[in-house]
Amino acid sequence: MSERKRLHRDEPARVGPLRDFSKLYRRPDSVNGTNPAKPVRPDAPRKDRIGGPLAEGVELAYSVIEKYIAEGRRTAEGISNQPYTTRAATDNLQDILERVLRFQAEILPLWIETLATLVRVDPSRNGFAAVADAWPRANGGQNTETMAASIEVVSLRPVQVSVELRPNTKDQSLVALSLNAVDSRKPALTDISFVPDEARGRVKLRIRIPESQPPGTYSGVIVHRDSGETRGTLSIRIAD
Amino acid sequence: MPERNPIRVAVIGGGCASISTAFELSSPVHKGKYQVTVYQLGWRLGGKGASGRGPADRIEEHGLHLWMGSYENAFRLIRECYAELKRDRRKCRVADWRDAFSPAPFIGLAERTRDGSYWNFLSYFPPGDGLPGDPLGENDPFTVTSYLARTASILRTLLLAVQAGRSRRTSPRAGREHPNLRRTHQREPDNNEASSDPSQRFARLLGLGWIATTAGLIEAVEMLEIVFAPRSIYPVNGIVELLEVIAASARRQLEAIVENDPELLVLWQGIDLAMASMRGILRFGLVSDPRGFDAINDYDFREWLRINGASERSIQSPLIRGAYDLVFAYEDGDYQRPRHGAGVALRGALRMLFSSRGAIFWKMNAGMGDTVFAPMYEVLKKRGVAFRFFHRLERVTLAAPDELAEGERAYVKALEFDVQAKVKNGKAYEPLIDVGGLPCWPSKPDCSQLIDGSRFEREEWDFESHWDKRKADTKTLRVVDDFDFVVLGVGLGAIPHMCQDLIQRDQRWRDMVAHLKTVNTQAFQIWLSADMEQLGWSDPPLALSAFVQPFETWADMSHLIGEERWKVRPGAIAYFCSALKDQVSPRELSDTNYPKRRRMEVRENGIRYLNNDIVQLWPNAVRRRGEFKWDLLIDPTEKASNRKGRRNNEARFDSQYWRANVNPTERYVLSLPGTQKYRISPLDNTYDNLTIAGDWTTCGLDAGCVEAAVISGRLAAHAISSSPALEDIVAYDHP
Repeated sequence: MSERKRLHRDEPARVGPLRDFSKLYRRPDSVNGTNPAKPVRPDAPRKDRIGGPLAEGVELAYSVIEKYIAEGRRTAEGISNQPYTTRAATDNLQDILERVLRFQAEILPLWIETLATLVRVDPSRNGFAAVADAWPRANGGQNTETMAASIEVVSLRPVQVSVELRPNTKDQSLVALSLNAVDSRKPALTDISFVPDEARGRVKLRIRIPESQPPGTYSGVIVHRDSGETRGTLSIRIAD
Repeated sequence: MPERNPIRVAVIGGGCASISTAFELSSPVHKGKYQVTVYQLGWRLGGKGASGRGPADRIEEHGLHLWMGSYENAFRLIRECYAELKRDRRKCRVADWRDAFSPAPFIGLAERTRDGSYWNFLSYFPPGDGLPGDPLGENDPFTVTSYLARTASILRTLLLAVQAGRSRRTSPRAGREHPNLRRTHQREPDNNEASSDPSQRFARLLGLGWIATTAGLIEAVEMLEIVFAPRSIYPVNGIVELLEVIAASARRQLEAIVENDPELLVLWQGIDLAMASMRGILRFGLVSDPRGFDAINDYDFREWLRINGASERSIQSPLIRGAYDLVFAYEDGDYQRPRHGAGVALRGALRMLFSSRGAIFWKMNAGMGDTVFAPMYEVLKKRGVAFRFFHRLERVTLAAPDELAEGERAYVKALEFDVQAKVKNGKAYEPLIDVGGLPCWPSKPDCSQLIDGSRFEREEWDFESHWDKRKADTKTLRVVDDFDFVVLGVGLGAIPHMCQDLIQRDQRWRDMVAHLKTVNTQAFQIWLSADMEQLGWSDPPLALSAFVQPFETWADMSHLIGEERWKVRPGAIAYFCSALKDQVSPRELSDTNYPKRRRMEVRENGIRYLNNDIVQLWPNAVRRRGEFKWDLLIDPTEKASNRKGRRNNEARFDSQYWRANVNPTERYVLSLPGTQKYRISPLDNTYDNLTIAGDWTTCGLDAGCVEAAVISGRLAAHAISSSPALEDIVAYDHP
């Protein structure tokens, strides 16, 4: 008769579900062990690795934002001409625009992170998420990193600053054009400059808010000093 | 060939989770490595899903059971079960899983109008491709981006429905077609549509004038669909901007229009809630938060929707009430305390709405016991799984601390059972009966197989009652001698009664039983001589929720008529269910009349409901205001010819079936805000030779349902055997 011993369970590899969106992808045909999930080697060529689509997507996004701002400004200027066909739209246009801009300001801190995730894990691809690829590589493997910047605000009132810079914005030859409110009666914010931040070795965005500046949200674009190409957007909300 | 020294696994309980574990561990892939024995209270498997055949072979359930089309693990399990069973359709009418389940694509919601009457909103949900349990295709539906894309899609459908509703109301020649009964709303190409270049369309939409029209809104939402399509990569702030513009414009455009039109109002509320959810997912960073939707579980779902801009009216709408009703999300069964963790609710809603296949719901074509647990029992038995019925677990005993070697984890030393009844001649109890060729569970045990069976019948032993402690014997199973591993698959409500050792030894177990709450439920079923049309219900068969409380959930189950054996064929069958308010819980064991009192309470609730409320659904079912036509109910014991002696008052309700699910193991687990963190995983090995299984565990879904139980059961099997692989448990890893 065999001597039985008490059996032990193996240490579990984990005790909870993976909730992290970036780690969830697996082979769709892996169910029931017929094709167990296998990690994709980080250096393996992947036909759908983000590159062209990323550039295209970001390009498109910025095009949209710029057009949105320009459209909004034109719309605001044209309110008196009642250019739109529905009364509801024109009655509260200012309110809508304010809300849109306010929401934008609120969401921006999350944007970079979320965009990074969306880009990092194209949900349509087959195969397990590779060990986290820090940031999608495009342009022959160069990191499409967003430039680090410090922000210095001189203001008597609370302000909220939101800056977006395109990936690959590395040099410091940037200029912020004047920031405008949707309400064209409000004066533009003009005292905005990019200066070197010697202590940190990066660029610093300096913003001075005049005491007389009316509260509201002011938006504008950041361009390359030499080429004039748009490199990002800047939005400032001044509290009452 | 079976292993000579198989690993012996004692599975406690016979509900969905336990049976899933037994199914996995007895799988042929293990080649007999595990010898599984299921210990079951009373005479039948099923737990909260147990059903039985009563008089006229009518089906008697614990409540209303519908499977969602998103129950991938549960459907896979049952499909494998039927495939292995190989029933002969010439001999058995439920030979395949498709014989066992039928799609139920309609959902109904009831909305109280200003004059106090109820208006029913019927909705058809277009399912995803394929059937539940099919291998997942190229695009995994269980992803946040997939959900967002489907949300955008449904948003467009809702907007088109609103537009259709507006047109219908303004056009004198408009048809009477219900906008929600349409499968999809394909938009015709617009001649005025400008460039197909997304950026230009985006910019034009954001010009606001265009978007402020419904047509513009629809186009904007189409843009969202493009943005959320699997291969699209757009910056989230742009998406949120677009969402915000859509929300502001939609609210301004639609709220005034829908004010006096309940049909459009519900559509608008759907739009509002869909947009709030999309905004919330983006604003709370749920796409990238490593906690997934758990990150918002400290919020109540309504509170979270409110934070994300849903209007108060939408938050109190039947859409949300229905979501709470679906999971009995009322703390202590109190309708004044609706509470449901936002993450669990959002995950459940998204999975239900957007990853369902074949249909949003599937109805069983017989009792859940007949369609799920009888075939499971047969397959497991063929595989060599042993069943020990009439075994009530009384105590799980841990090895004392001084019995443990240094570094040894605590383990279960013994399982103490009350043996409720013994089978004659030492045989195994044969639990199934034949109903026209279909193996089914009876509503009562077959006492003829039991020693002293006639006495049990005479003395009305209730083998499923927590308060009936009568027994024939006791039995103690000891580790090493009798078992190697234990799967504790009982309901959460029973844990404090049998696991005091486990609770006292570990803080997390103490937290679990202290913070995770369960709720009683109540249900009744009626068999009617008139059909639904005669009763005044003209819509398709459906499950309807958000109606009068209690019994706010109702389902037309007339498709079961042919499955039962009536002398007088019923015209309709209807099931009702809801939460049942707690009194004092847990009740003392000495209060043996407690179940009877609660059952009488359910009876009164049912009678009151039929007298006063059913008229809103079935206007022809009442004789006059406040009086149900009691003679509509069919008494299975009554002879068709004996019309003289018929009781035609509310006493006739006694011939129907109703129950109060108040036994601890029958209580439904809630997902209250802030409590999910107290759940314990089946993978946890605090107790070395024990794993847990049930919808009350950390199982990915973390909500009371069949799918959660099956996932949990598969996890418990993995904890013991490392199979199935975790990534093969569908959508266990899910945001």
